[in-house]
Amino acid sequence: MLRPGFSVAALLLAAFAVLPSELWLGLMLGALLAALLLRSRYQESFLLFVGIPGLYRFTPLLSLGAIDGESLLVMFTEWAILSAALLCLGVVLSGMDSDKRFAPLRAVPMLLLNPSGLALAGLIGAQLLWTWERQRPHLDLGAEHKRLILAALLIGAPLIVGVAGLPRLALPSVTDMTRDLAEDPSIVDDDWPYPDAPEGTPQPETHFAPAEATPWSRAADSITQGALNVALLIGSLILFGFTILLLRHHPWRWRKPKDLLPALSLFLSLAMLITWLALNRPGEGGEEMAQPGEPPLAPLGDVALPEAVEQTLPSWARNLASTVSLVTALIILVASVLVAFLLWRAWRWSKEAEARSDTRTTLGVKAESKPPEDRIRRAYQSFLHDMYARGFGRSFWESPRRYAERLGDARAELQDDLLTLTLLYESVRYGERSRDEDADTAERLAMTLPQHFIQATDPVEANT
Amino acid sequence: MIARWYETLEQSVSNVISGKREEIELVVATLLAEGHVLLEDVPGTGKTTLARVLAASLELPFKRVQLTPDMLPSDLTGVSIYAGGEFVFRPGPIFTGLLLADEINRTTPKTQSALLEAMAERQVTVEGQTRPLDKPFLVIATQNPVEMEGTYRLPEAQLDRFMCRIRLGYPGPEAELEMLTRLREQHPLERVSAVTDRKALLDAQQRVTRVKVSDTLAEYLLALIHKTRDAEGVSLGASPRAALMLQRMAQALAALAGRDYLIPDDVQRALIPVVAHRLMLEYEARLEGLSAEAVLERVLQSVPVPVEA
Repeated sequence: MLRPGFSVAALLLAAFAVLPSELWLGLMLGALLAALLLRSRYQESFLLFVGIPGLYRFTPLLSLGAIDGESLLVMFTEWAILSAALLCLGVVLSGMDSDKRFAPLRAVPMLLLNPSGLALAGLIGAQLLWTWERQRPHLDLGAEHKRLILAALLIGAPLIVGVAGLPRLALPSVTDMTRDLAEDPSIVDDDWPYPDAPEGTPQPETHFAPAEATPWSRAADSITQGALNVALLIGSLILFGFTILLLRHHPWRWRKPKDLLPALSLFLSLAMLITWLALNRPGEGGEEMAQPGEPPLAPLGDVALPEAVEQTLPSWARNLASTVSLVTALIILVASVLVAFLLWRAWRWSKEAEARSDTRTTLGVKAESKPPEDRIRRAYQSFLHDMYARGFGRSFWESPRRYAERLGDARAELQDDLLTLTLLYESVRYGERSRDEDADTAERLAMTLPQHFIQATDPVEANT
Repeated sequence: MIARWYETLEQSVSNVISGKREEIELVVATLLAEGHVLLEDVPGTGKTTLARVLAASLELPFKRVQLTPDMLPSDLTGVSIYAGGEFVFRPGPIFTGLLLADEINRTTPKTQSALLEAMAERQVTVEGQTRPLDKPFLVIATQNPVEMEGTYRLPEAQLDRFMCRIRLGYPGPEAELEMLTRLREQHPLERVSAVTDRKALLDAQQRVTRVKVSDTLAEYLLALIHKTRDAEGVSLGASPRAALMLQRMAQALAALAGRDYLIPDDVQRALIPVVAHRLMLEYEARLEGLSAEAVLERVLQSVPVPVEA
């Protein structure tokens, strides 16, 4: 059984294998966090609301390479204090919410306090979706978690690399900035002469001594930019494959939050592919990026246009390079949230499946990964779905007969038909008999009975 | 077939006991499942009458023992007496078809324990010699609530031998009025005649064992049992024996309903009568007024029923 700890460890190992040494400190902190959270009673809060935002915020900063130790210490201290405070709040709120029905509430103070608000918002959204799903009637998830873990791992590894390379794309490196400042003759020191400087002291040539690019930092530039390039392409292809995988089992209904996953996955896949193509147009950024020792990014979209034409373009088109960078950053951010969501869901499902396989009884049901083959069972399943959509869903602990009685109380004239459908289903499901001769009756009842129940304006609210 | 058999029996019993249709069904199901019944309620609610009318309707050899604090185990199991130059075993009241152990919690734990072997293994060992009991052997014990004066709490091992604990409760106003009318001149118990016989009962018991239990329902049943073990406020959950008895009881209820397969409702319906008396609640939970029945209601509402998702 693939445990969540292994997933985290595998991601970290993959990151160690491909990332430059500057990032190792951040990743070691991440590994420490992961180890702590997996031993913690409140690992869910820790992982989602402290660990991941911390990594998100801290790791890219480290990748700037030329950052000094003091700044690093300040950033780390700030983040550690915030995280500790947030963890305390999370633990307090978790304790108040012992049945975890209001798990998203735990994130509220964290959202207010943590500077990584955007990433948090995405994670909270994911948790909201999950909580919403848990309150619905029981959903047999089967072995789907294994597929999701694999998908998340495949997508996650290149994305981590991509996130690490993000500052290289969106921002100039510290080395480049200091070199540019040093070489720009228009920059003058407005404060000169300094009040405490002895008279006659010559003005220093520049206060912006260029940082020397070390072989390590040049290698880091090259690796992270190359990794970003690869991440975009591989991530796009994997997401596309994942979309196809999702669509194969898709019910083609749009009632549940997870039904939107294929659309989201397809969108991200296409967006990443388009971005990769934009970055790799012949003769532009893509070729230069892979050259070690070169400046990190060649100008993108720097097409020579007549000035009159250029003036008519919108600002995003005039600054195509920045726009592409920004879009890339957003795509990677959204994809990261998706990966976190997939990993989290897979983790939860694996825990449930493990409990089922350990005792075969925790949930009282056998995992069924495919729809029933029997026509009567399929008809009854369709009946349940339709009734749920109308706000008359079955409670997960309710037996078919008790459910039929409840519905019969609401519509007395349907009692006989409801009982007939239920009896047919019971004899097939629990009596394990073949009732092909009655399948037509079951299908007719399953189709017509829900039509007698008025559609609720808010089915989810009605079902809860 | 069992459904028709039960219909006749239920009619006969209902002529004497009014407004207790559900309780009667549970008691008959327990007998079909080869279990023993513990009827618990305050005095005067018809516990003894129910046992007697059942015995009469089933035409079983019937013995009634009024258990008292000074009763000895040998008063139940029997004793060897010296007669004609040798020791001759004189069987006690336990050698019967249906034993009514009235007010079982008024006798000492030692005498209560004398019933253990007979109930569990359907045999009695007296003076080193083991003697089997006839089939069927059914014990219907009645007890007053433990809080009442002069009662001894039944040991857990003894409680575990009872398949079901059933509380009769007071009859409803209409049933009580009907009872007053019916019993004004003659007690209907005196008119009860046998509606079935021992062979039919044994045959029905055999059929119950053949009621189909699907794998998913067996898992559901076990999920309920396991849930009782870590339920809040419970210090001792249901035993594996309880799981076996729950399955058999649910099979009997399915058979009485005319089905040869189990449905979730059978398990749900059998859960409280079969498991409630086996649960030990924590001291704090008892102080807070939590009952085993309430715990089991929660358990029922926390385990998903195996239905298409």
